[in-house]
This record gives sequence, C-alpha cells and structure tokens, in this order.
Amino acid sequence: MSGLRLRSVRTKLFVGVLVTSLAAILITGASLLAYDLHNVRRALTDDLGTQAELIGRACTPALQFDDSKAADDNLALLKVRPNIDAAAVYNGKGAMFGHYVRDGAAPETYPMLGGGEDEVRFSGQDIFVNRRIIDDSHEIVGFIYMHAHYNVFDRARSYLGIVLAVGSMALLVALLLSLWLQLTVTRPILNITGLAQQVVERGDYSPRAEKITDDEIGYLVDAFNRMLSEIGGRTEALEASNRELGHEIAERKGAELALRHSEKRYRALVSTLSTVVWAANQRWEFEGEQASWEAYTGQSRNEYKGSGWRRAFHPEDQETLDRFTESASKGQQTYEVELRLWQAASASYRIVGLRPVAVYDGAGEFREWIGTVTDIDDRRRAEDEVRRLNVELEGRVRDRTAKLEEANSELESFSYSVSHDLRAPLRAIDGYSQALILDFGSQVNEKMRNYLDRIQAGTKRMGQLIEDLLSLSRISRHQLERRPVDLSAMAEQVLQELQQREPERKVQVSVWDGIMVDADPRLLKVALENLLGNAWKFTSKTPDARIEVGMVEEGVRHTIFVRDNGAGFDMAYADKLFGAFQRLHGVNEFPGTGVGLATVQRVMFRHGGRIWCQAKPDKGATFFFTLQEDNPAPVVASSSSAQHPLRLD
Amino acid sequence: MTSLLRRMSPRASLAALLLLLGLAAPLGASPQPNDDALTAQRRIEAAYLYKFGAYITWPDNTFAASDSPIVIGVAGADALADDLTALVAGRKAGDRPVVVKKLQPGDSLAGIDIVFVGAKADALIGDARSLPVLVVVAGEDGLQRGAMVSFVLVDDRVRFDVALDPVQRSGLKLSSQLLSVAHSVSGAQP
Repeated sequence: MSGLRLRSVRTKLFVGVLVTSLAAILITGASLLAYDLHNVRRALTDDLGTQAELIGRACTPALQFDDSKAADDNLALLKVRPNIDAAAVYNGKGAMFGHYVRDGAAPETYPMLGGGEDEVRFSGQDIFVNRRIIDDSHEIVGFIYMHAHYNVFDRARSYLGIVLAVGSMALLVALLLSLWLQLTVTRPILNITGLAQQVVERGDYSPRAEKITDDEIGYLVDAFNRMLSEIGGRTEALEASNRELGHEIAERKGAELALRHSEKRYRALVSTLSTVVWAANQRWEFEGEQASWEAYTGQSRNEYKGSGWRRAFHPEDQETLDRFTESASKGQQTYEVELRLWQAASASYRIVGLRPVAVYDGAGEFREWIGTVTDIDDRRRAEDEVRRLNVELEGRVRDRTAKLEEANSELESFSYSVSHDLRAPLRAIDGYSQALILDFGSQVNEKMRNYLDRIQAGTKRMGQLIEDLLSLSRISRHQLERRPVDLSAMAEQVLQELQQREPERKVQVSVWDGIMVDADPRLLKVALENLLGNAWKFTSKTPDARIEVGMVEEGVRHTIFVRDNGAGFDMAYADKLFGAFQRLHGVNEFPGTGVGLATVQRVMFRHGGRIWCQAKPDKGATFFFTLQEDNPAPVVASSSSAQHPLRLD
Repeated sequence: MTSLLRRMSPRASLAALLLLLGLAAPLGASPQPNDDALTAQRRIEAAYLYKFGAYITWPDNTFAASDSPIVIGVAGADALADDLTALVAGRKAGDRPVVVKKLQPGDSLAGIDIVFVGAKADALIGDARSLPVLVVVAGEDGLQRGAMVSFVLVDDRVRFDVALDPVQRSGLKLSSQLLSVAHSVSGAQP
C-alpha cells in the first residue's frame, strides 16, 4: 500500500512533468503551425498578387496590340514557379487571350471573367487569383487568372517532424528535470513516508526524519518530527493511563471479591443468627423463602406465605400486631414492638422484638419491608429477676439502715451520758484540788503546788474535751433546719469575737460582702467558729497575718473558702486532717483538741456538702466547702460577689 | 478614375467591340476584305496610333511641360483622323492628353509628335527626317518608303513592323515592350 503510494508520488511527478512538457510542446507546435500556415497563405497571396500584376503588366502591350503569342510567351515564364498550376489572360471583353498550364498539371477549367473586382479565393489546397490588368492610362485592358497550390500537409508533416524532434528533446530534458526534482523534492517526502511506515510497523516514535532542505518540505519534516514527539508523548500518557486503569480494575475486582465474601459471610451470619431476618412486600406479605423465620417458628413456606406469618404470633397479640403494621404502613413512627411468637424448638410462645425497616429503591420509591425478629424472652426474664432482686435488696438496706440508726442513736446517747456523767467526777477533782490550795495554802510547798496546778490543767483540758465531744454529738443529733443565712455577717461576727478575746492581735481580715447560703444557722456557726478559730490560731506566729472569706462560683456550684497565710501544713497529711483527735501540730505549738475539723466535716456532711483543702507548710491554708450536693439548686448569692474574682495565692 | 471610366464607358465599349471584331475577324467566314473590314482595320490603326504614345520616349526638350499634349498629325487619311479624334477625346496616353491634327501637304511638322502619313503624302516622310517625330504609314512597303512604323495585315489582323534606323536617327526611343509585340523589327539596335 505504502509502496504503491511511493510509486504513485514518483509517477505523478514524472507524469506531471511529462504531460506539462507535452502539452506545452503541442500547444506551441500547433500555434506555430497555425501561425505559419496563416503566414504562408498570406505570403502566397501577396506573391501570387505580385506575380499576377507582373504578368498582367507584361501582357499589357500584347493585349493592346493584340499579340496573343506575346501573351503566351509571358505566361510561359511561370514555369519557374512550380506551385502555379495554370494561368490565363483575358482581353477587356473577357475573352480568353492567352493561357498557361504547368507541365504535368491536370487540365484546367478556366473561369469566365470580366467586370468583377480583384479577388483571391482559397479552396482546399488551391488558391485562385483574379485580377484586372490596368495600363498606364488607368484603363482596364484585360484580366488575368491564376491557379496555384500550396502543400499544407507537406508543411504540416514537416512541422510535425520538427515538433516531434523538439518534443523528444524536451521530454528528455523533462525526464532529467523530474529526476532532479525527485532528488530534491521527492527524496525528503520518501524519507518521511519510510519513517511513517517504520513508526506504524514498530510503534516506535523515537526516530526523527532528517531535514535536508529549508523549504516547505523542510517545514513539513519539522512538523512531522514535532508530531512524532507529540504522538510519542501522548502514547506514553495513554499507556500510563492504561496501567492505572489496570490497577483500578484489579482493585475493583478485589473489592468485588471482598464484597462477595462479605455477602457470603452475611448470608452465613443470617443463617446462623438467632435473630430472625424477614422480608415482606408493601402489603406486609411474605413472598420469598424466609429460612430463619421457618427455623424459628416451624411454619412451612405454605403456612407463612402471604399473611400466614401473622398466625405464628400469640392470639392475644394479634390486635397489637395489626395496629403496629397499620401505623408502620402509614409512615408513623414505629420502631419496635414486643410480641409473643411461637418458637418451635421450645414449643412455647416467647417474647420477641419485631423491628421493620422500609426499603426504598434508587429512585426513592418504597419497595418492601425487611426486618428482624429478636428473641428477647431471656432478657425480659433476666430483667424481671433483676428488678425483683433490686426490690428485695432495697428492703434489706432499709432494714439494716434502721437497725444501724438505732445502734448509732444508742451509741450517741451512750457517749452523751458518759460525757455528761464524766463531768461530775471531773468537777470533784477540780473542786477538791482548788480546795487544797485554798484551805492549806500555807502548808503547800512549791512542789505540791506544781502538782496541783498540773491536776487542774488536766481537768480543764478534760473538761474541754468532754465539751467538744458533746458538741460533736449534738451536731450529729441535731435536727437540720435550713434557712437563708448571711454567711458574710456571720463570719464577721465570729472574727469580732476572736478579736475581742485577743485584742492585742493584729490580723488583716477580709470578708466578701453578701455571701448568702441556705443552711442551718447553728451548725454553720459551729463550722465557721472552728474554721476561723483555726485560721486565727495558726496565724498567731505570722507577722502581717491575713484571713479571707470568699466564694467561688463554678456554674451552679458555689464553693465558699476560708484562706489564711498562717502555718499551713504538708498536703501529704491532708487525708488525716478531718479525723477526730488528729493533730498535725504539737499541743505546745498550737493548742487544740483535734476534734474541730471533724466537727466541721460533720456539719458539711449533714448539709450534703463536702470540705477539702489546699496548703503548704508556712504558706498558709485554704479550706473549701460546699453546703449542698454537687448538682442542686444554686446557692443564693448577691450581685456583689461577682465583683470579687477568686484570688488563689 | 472610376468616374472617368464611367464617363468614358460608351467609347470604351466601342473600342472593346472593335477589338472583339478584330479578333473575331480571323474566325469570320469571309476571307476577302469588305467595307466593314476596312473600316474596322482603319479604327484599329487609329487605336494603335493613339496607344503608341505610351511607349515612346521623346527627346527632353520636345514638350514645354510635363502635361503638354501629344500631338498626332494625320495627313492624307481624313477618315482615320476623324476616327482618331473621336477615340482620343478626353483620353490620355500615359500622363499626356492627345490632340489630333489633320495635315495638308506642305504643312510644317513643327509641334507634331506622331505623324500618320496616308496616301499621296509621302513628302512628309522626307520632311520628318531627323525630326523627333514618329512616322507611321500603312502598307507592306511602308518601311521602304522611309517610315519608322508600318501597319501590316497578318492573318487578317492588324500588326506593325518597326524600322529602328530612322527611329534612332530621329532621337526617339521605342519601348522594348512595344518592340516585343511588333510583327517584325528591322535595323540594328545600338
């Protein structure tokens, strides 16, 4: 195909040159021939006219003096002109006067002449000339007739010969030219064609055509090369894209395989599931096979198909089922309904959860129902059991609590009575030891007085201890009565009492205004007396002592704090802080019974609140407490508290 | 010239007729000359006289001007003179008009360019000797009588003979064309 095309281009070029040359030669030859024939004719015409004129002139005296022999002699001179076949001279009246016929010419038919104008007539290869003979006096003395021939075909033949000769030469030149053209024009094209063939056969876009010339073909070569690069690039891109596509297809196949596995797993799961999976059409009719339904209920396909599946439910639940399916069909919200379904295996009705889901196709058209039936019978039974156990447990807890409260109450009345009873002997020891000093003061030496003082101090401390224990006991027994209390005012009052007790102390006191709480005022007073008393006591050795009472609001929770810059303590012992009789400082260092913080904690517990602290040795301590459970209604607080943001040092 | 021809047409036809008759004469049945034949011969001779003018070259000072007429004198042949007069009316011999003059014996030949000497006027032939005048006679013996051109009848056709010696003496020159149609030419060419 391509070889044919190659030959075709070459042949076309060759034929084109050939045809062009031939056409040029033929047209030129024909034109020249036509022009020449025309010229020959005209020359012949002129020549014959002159000839006739001359002969006519020569014959004038012959005519004038009636000498036909002289006329014949004159006409005979025409022998030297072989193309003149015949001639004749007529006198003025048109009568034949003399004539001439060339040797070997056909007998001539002479025309009748006279009176006409001069004329030249062509007929085929013959020329006929008629002319008047006019003398010097401008009189017509006679007429002359000439018949000549000219050989058109001879001339054309010779011309054809010339044209053929010239044509052959021209063709030769054209052939050479076409060879040269082929070298300069065709070769680059052939190169490109060969290259194109190579590219097509091998699919290799790397070779490039050689640019030989700088003309249009050179440009063609450049364009071809650029096109090759372009195609090469695109082919690579295409192949890369193909590879990617191959990967994608492989991935998709993998995904399909995974999907198939997943579906198989799903089917296996469904078949082994205790949960029944079912599908129904839009009218709640079973259509296909419902393997798990059949396995659970023991209904055959004929039994459950259509609406037969409904009969597997307990007769008393039929109405519930109807209502449920009806409302589901109406699109009302129906998540699940609990019904009793016949289980073949146990030959009993069991409680199940029926849960349908509407399935829509791609166009959003409702198609069918699928759903599950979950056996919740065991769960229901377990829940019932738990509920029963809970009720039982709660009763038992109530019993125990009652017993505990009874015991507690007995214990408290015991400790109260003990404390109370202990005070009588203590007063006796105190009283009699004082009586010893008063009555026998002179006999009591220094050593005895020292012992007696120690006895009095011991009884005093014991009395305080009993007092504290009684107080703690009272707090426990006290009936809680909540009411709004101005904690700020209460704290101010406690601090004033402390100041009056020790007027020489200089303590910088700062109590936020308007901290209102809902609490029992008596218990709150005990707690504040203990907390502020501690602060007062542990700042006694601190120069520039400060005590602050404030409140932090965190959402609904209001936390009240009491801060001092006193002795503080190590937080490692913080857990021991709120136990009774626990002391972190020596009695000599700071006096106290170790019951105070236990009492405070008891107050907070009674209110449902709690207490905690932050402290560092010699850097002071801060006690936080709440008077309510963590999520109750907020503590009443005035607007002024918001103006005091928490400052924790 | 066309208008001239048209105007001259009747006479041209007449001349043509005469020529035709002249040609036809040899074909005629009668070998003997009759009056008609004589008349025709006379008219042809008149025509020849007139036509000679175109073939003669006179000496340079013969004519006063280039368009001066050629004067043809006719002596002793009044009928011919009349015929000639009728023939040359309005015609030219070459570029010159032609005038016919009847001559009587003893008349001077001064101003005469061509003279036809008829019967009984041979004295004029002698008068014309050495003058630039073409002397024409009729008859077989015309040249012997001293004429330059003599009309003869050959095969019943009017022809003429030429004697070159007297021509040469007179200073005239005759065209070779004229000589080529002469019946015979005597005398040596110089």
